[in-house]
Amino acid sequence: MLISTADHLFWMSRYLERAENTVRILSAYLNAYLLNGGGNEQKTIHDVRAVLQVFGLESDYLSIYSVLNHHYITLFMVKNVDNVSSIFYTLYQARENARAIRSTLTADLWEAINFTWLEFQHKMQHNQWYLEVGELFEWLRNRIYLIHGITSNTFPRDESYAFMAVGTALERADNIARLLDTKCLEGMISNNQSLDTSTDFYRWSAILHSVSAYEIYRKTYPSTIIPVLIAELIMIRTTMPRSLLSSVNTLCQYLQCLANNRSDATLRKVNLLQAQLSFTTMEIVLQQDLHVYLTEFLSQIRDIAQGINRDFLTNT
Amino acid sequence: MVFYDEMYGLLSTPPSSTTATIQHYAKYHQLFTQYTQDSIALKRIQADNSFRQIGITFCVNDDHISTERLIPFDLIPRIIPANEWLYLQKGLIQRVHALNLFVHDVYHGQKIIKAGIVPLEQVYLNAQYRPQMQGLKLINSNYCHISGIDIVRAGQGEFYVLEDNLRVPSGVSYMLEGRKMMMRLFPQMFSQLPISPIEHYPNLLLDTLRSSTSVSQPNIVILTPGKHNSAYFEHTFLAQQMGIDLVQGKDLFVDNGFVYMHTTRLPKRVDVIYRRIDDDFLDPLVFRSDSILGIPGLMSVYRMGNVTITNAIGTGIADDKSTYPYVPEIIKFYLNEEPILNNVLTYQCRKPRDLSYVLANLNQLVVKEVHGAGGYGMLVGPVATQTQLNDFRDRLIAKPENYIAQPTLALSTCPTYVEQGIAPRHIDLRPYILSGKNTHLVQGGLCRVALNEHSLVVNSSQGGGTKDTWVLYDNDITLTRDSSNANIYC
Repeated sequence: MLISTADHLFWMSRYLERAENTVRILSAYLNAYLLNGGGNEQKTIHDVRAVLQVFGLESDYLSIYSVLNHHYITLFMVKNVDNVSSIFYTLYQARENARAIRSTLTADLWEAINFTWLEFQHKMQHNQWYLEVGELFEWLRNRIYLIHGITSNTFPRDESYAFMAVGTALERADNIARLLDTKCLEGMISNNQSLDTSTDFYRWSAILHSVSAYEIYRKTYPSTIIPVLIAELIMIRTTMPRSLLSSVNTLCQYLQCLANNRSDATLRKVNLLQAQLSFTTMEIVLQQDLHVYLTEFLSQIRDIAQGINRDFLTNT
Repeated sequence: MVFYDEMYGLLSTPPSSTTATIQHYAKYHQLFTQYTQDSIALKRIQADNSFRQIGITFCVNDDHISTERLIPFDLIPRIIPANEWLYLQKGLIQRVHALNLFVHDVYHGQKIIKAGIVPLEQVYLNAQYRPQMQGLKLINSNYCHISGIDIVRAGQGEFYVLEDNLRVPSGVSYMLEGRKMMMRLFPQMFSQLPISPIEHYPNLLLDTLRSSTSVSQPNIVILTPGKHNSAYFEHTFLAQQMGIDLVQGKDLFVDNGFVYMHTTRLPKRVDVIYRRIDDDFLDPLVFRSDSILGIPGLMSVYRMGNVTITNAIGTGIADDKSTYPYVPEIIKFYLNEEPILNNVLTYQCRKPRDLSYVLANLNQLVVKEVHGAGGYGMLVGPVATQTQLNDFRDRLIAKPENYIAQPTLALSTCPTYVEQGIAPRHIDLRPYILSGKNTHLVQGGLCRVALNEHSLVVNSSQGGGTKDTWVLYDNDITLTRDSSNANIYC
């Protein structure tokens, strides 16, 4: 397969996945904001900061806006053209990558991506979207589900599919790890307690919702909502399709299909990461400290991403 | 003033609801009038939305800012009866065949120059002449694999060739997508009218590309300048339809006498390049050294015969507007036949006599740049402002060899949806002729329409739209479905 085609497929999938994660995290945030009834300003500031921390965008935000509030975070994450995690930016990039290789995509897939971008742009032209931002998120989530559905139902299972799967898995692992690695959550996971205040309950159920894990949690654990179990579910449980381990498994599986004469080192790193995650427990993670563990995980993911770029996506 | 309308024939006044149609439009007209205005309005919206969703757009280059735009698609088809098509088809095959022989001759024996039919300077001083092609042997001596010949109808309804496009003719994707749209919007018309199918064009194109090389399982690619090119949609469309890779110059490299593409595994050899890039940009070592679109060293591989480039390099010598006036003579010289299709009377401004006539009658004539394309840089005398006329007069005097002029043709019209309802608008037709081992041609073409009233310029970059073209087959007139046996010359 052409290197440039592989590169566009990989990035198209990464940006689509990033768009989805942005939508998910914003939906969770919006839920918390609505539950708050707009009354507690301190709490809103706290939530807005948490969102920015997930994306690592605090300084970018503060270079444009001087205050943390609901209005600005919504504008910043939905339609800011320079924010690499905004819905506008990620959809634009996904569509431009798709456009460059539309001859490789099935017509259905291309049209679904193109329509999503055109319709999103159209919605942005009127301020109505802001008043119905929940509906916008729901629409986007459905569009991305549709795109995944078309991919899974119409896309040939060949190298191009593998590059898309690798891009999706890599981006997902990165985004989910960042979601868990926000400072404000850290303390709660470590103390292994059930939630004592209703504020905490809503915050944690928001996280579960943001990764579509609420029902899975209920099915997997008979207990009430305990932060350390949430972390376990999102990190190392394979029943959870968006868990770190599930993503790394996918990454492993499809990179193996793509292996070439340059990729041995990268494949070893992915296999190592898979083994580490497969055989760990939450006790071990917490002994080491969650933040330290996730920082190490993210740096391994970055290293693998560089390896993929070097082995598959660069002209020799 | 009388004018020819495709639906109503010769008219002296605009058609009304009581005007009788020409016979081959009768059935269509009867079916069409069964639709209410509302349902047609709905279909127009449906068509626009669908084209936008599919992304059938082109980029307009305006001061280096390119924007994606839809090409307006008109719902009323241009209908061509079998007997007229048969005549066009014979004429097109004859013309392309002769032009191909001409290009071969220019780069080999130059018999036509020696015979005094085409002047020496017309060839050697032409910017489109490529000395690198001199003496190079090509497979099947084929240069023009894909040709688009622009046909207009004028006067009392007679056909003329307005222009030959032998370099990288575009627009075929609009022809195919337009047909798909019409079948979606008006399925009952297709079940009741004998409309020749055109959907197999990509198959014929792939056959043509395959037969342009002696490699048995060739790796064929389309070379595009990239997504900012105005025809990018078409490049992706054709690659997808034929199931071949769409590449840019940076995806290819030359090594040890062959062209390869960078892949995620080992480099893969490329045997045929269907290029959608002008000669000038193909190889920076030979042509424009500032080109980043091409492949350094490509020309050396080409000269070794290790890669096929379609269309061949140097075909511009035959479709240049200054060569156009010689085409009837070219046909007679190589084929010893009378040209079937007429040329439009053309004044060559490099000839002093022609120039003085052109200058004296500027407001009656259409003046075109010899190397112009896309409807840019032309003057339509009768509708030009005094400033435009003066400007062109200066340009003509400064560089007469850069221009040709033609009488302003009263192009035929076809009923077309415009803001005020349905009105006659000027149209042309571009059929695509494929030359490989055989000469193929689907029965249809891209019909372009000038949407602005009185405008004669149909180019999409100048506010033109497209229509579907329906060639009706007739069992009494043998129209073979894909004309593959219509190759009467090779």
